[in-house]
Amino acid sequence: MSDAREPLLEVEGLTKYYESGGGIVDTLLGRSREVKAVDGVDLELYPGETLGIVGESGCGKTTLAQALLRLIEPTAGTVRYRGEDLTAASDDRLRALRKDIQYIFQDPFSSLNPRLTVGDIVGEPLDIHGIASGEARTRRIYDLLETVGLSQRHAHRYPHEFSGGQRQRIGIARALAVDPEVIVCDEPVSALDVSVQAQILNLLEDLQDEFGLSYVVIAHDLSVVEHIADRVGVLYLGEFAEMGATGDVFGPPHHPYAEALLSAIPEPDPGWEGDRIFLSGEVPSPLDPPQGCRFHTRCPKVIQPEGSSLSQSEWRSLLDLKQRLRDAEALESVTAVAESDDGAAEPTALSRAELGERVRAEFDLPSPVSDGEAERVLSEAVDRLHDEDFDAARATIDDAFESPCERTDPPLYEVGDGHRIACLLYDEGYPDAPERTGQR
Amino acid sequence: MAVLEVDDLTVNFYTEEGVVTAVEDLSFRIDRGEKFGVVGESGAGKSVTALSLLRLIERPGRIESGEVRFKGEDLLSMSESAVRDIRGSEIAMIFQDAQTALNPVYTVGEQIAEAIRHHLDYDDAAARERTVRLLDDVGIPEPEARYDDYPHEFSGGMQQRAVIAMALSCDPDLLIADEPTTALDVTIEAKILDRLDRLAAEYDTAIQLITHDLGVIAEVCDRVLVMYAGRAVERASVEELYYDPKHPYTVGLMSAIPRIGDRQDRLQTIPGTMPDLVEVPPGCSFHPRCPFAEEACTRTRPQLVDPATGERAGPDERSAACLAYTGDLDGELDYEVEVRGRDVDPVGEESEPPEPDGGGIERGADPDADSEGESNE
Repeated sequence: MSDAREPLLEVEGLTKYYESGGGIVDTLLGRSREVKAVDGVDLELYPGETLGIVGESGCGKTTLAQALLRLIEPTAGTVRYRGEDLTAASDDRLRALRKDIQYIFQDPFSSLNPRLTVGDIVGEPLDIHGIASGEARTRRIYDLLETVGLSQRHAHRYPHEFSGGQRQRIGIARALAVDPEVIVCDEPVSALDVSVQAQILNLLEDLQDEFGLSYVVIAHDLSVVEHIADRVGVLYLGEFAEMGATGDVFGPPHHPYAEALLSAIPEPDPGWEGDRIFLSGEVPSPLDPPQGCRFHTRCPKVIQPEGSSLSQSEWRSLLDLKQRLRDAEALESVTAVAESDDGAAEPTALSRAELGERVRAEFDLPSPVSDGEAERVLSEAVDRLHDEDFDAARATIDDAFESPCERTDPPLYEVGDGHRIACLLYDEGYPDAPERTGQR
Repeated sequence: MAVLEVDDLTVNFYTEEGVVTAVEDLSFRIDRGEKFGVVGESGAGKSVTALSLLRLIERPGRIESGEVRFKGEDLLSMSESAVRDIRGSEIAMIFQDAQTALNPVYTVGEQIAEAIRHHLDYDDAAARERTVRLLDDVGIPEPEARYDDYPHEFSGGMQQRAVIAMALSCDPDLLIADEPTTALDVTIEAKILDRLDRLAAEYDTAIQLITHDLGVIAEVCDRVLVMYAGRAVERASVEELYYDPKHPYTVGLMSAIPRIGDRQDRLQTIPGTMPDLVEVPPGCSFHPRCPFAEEACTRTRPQLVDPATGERAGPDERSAACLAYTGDLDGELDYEVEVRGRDVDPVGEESEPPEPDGGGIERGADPDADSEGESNE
């Protein structure tokens, strides 16, 4: 779909930071911090296509969708619709532009005004934009309801009389009322049952064919996005990790994050025997996103420094140890829980050898690890831990175990027609890096 | 041996709009250590079933009739205090929303330790130690430190792990998990399901897993019950259900899931929605949405029968509730079922789009479809 046509929507460097937490005292002392919800995102939407955006909760999907329409004010960046910058538009102009760009909300239960009849909900945009009144308005409302698979008689009822799927249809009818070019759909089916979800996805596709709509579809469900989208962007902590045609991104996956996401989907096939990739840890806080590649704290394919000959799982474990040590104040933080009740000595009372075992047990590290130099560093760190000198242990490990992924924030590497991947595995400078998947 | 036997359970809710039969004549049994799935959409009666097993149905709901035998004893005729002793220790429950299952004013560790002290009579130190080990078992890093955290300091995934630790704390014989991973991201869901699966084996606990997600069922369960509008419509082993579903609703449900690697443009759908339980359609309650429905379906309510013989099926036999199997229909159920693993390259042939009356599940063939038990250890 990425042909030479002009994009309808062109987003550059879109950024949204939220002020976090701090009360007035924190603000006075300059201690307030910023949540980097969306951090410099570029995207294009071409006429007639569906762009899917996936990612885990907290990665900035909804913020991005809302910032696109200025439902929330972006901190920086531009959103151009047919060449016109939305972020610089006056309120009047913005209102006019929103006739062309509409939004469908995730929750069909809270996004419809319970005090309005369905007819008035769908008719409201017609009034606001002065599109139709009187008889024409009524006819238009009836048409719209029929377009989305409801009927005329529904116009006089209230939202609570409808099921979730029907409410989502009402939301779609409202978005269609102004005859838009672009619809941003934020989790359009996540609140719906499977059988109803399929109806709504089919409806969205039918409407696209009928009215030539372009969609931005936000979803956490990869199988939904894979089904409906022509192109996909994979968002991680406010940045795109990968962007490209759906087939290029998912079949097979390229970015280690996309690969992990895809492998985690429970397959509705009891005989399926795929390997699940379990990511270490959880999504880091967007208050303080990791340096370098934001995914390096969980990435199974994080690159080893030159000359290292550790197995990839040992290397991942050592980095986990390093991250854990960063905030460690007690030995409990880096040692495994004792196996049995009896004689469960406090970690501080352990001998040097026992402590070493418990640390290795916690991080699944063999003794010795497969690289001589790494083994020397690890046991030196355990010595320091045995002295309960955490700073020295940290220093020992920090100096020795450093991945290029921690230092270098990967740009989006162009690997094919409109297919971009933000991962150092796609940089030619790391010949020893783990094998990438989806080699082209 | 059966841990749980449910016979002809019926639960009504007396609402202002009328009597709602949320669960009707439901029978099933769960064996020791078995992983039993209950699948259906919202309004199918899954959660009401789970709650009535523990006698947690509150007014205006009432368990109308039936028996729920746990290790041979009828829970429905026990005294309240006897049931209370079983809840949380021998039968534990995990709910979808971990946040509401944890008390916000106690630390996570203390809540788990309390259950251990209460049910198992441990002293403070021993209860604390067992709690730390449980937190470690469910995959909470630095369990000693996290013991003293309050629930709000945990992420959603960590909260659900803590709830699982609490559920396992007294070594229950049966764990009822109601949509345990629905609110979580797939990466977290995968880890938690994997953990649940391994712990159930380790603690020799039977699981009743309630979910709308057929993927989750396929991954975890041995046997499955499909519910629709308060009734069981199909019961089968997980392999039979996925590779050879017998009820049109099951077929529709499976073909409605978008699947990775599937090249078809349109998803199969089941027209309409689950009926309002105040006015369940007469006859087969699925008939208004069923592509194969005939005149007879609007009149006769189908019983769970063995699809091969049409005889009434016992509570743990393979069965489906459809008139097609009792010879009451003129036509036949005409659908094809093909399940394709994600890694098998999609074959070029696009089978012609089955219209609603074809009702097929469009997936490629899986040659190993019949081999059993790979998904479970």
